[in-house]
Amino acid sequence: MAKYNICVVCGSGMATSVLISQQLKDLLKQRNIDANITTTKVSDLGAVSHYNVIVTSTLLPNNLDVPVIRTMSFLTGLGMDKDVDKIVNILQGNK
Amino acid sequence: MKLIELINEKLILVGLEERDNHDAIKVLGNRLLTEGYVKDTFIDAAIQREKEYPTGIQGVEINIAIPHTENTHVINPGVAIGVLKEEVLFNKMDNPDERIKVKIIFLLAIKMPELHLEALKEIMNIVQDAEMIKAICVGKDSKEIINIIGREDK
Repeated sequence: MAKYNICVVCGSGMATSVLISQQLKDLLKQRNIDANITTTKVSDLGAVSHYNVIVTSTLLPNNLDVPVIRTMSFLTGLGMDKDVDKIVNILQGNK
Repeated sequence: MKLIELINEKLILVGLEERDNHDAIKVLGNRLLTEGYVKDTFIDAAIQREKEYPTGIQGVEINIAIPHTENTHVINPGVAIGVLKEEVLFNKMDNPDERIKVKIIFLLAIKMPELHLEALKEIMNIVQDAEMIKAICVGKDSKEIINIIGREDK
């Protein structure tokens, strides 16, 4: 099974990114998608080319070479499924 | 840890009259400081972080903010809750150029994020729960607010 790398980013790496990553992990598992999810803060983001997609609740520099999904859904619960669809589409390469 | 385990009556301030988000963070942060939850560097760090990465979150009817900062400024985990008499402006987390009126501030002193996921989820659920958030807004004192949050935990 393909293994994907996802990075979840927030301002401090303390709160929202951890919550988002947990929700996302559960939702991807439900869809049988095996993904490695790491969390970090914006200032520690560094090189991103090994990620398939970046998920964030905040504004990121827009020169990133990797698709970015900016959403509050994994925090508030509203519209999560749609965002998982988007992420799965990116992972499976059928944007 | 549940939200109820991270709060106590002294950490809840009702009827805050601050007119500015940074002042409100200061008042709540001072409470965390005097109660021994955070180091004296916490308040400035939280305000700085709020400037760089704002934390306003749009609710169904009532908006909240969840200011926080790195755990190096935290001694013991805790959440200070402030209900404002009149809403103050926060920039939105997902769209920092946009400002929203915030009624309730949850100032998070987080030590180990994994341990506090449950509490964070509860806060997010509160934002979606129009009844509960209204109850918190009209709560007369910290005791009443603790009861409202504790009720949900059972």
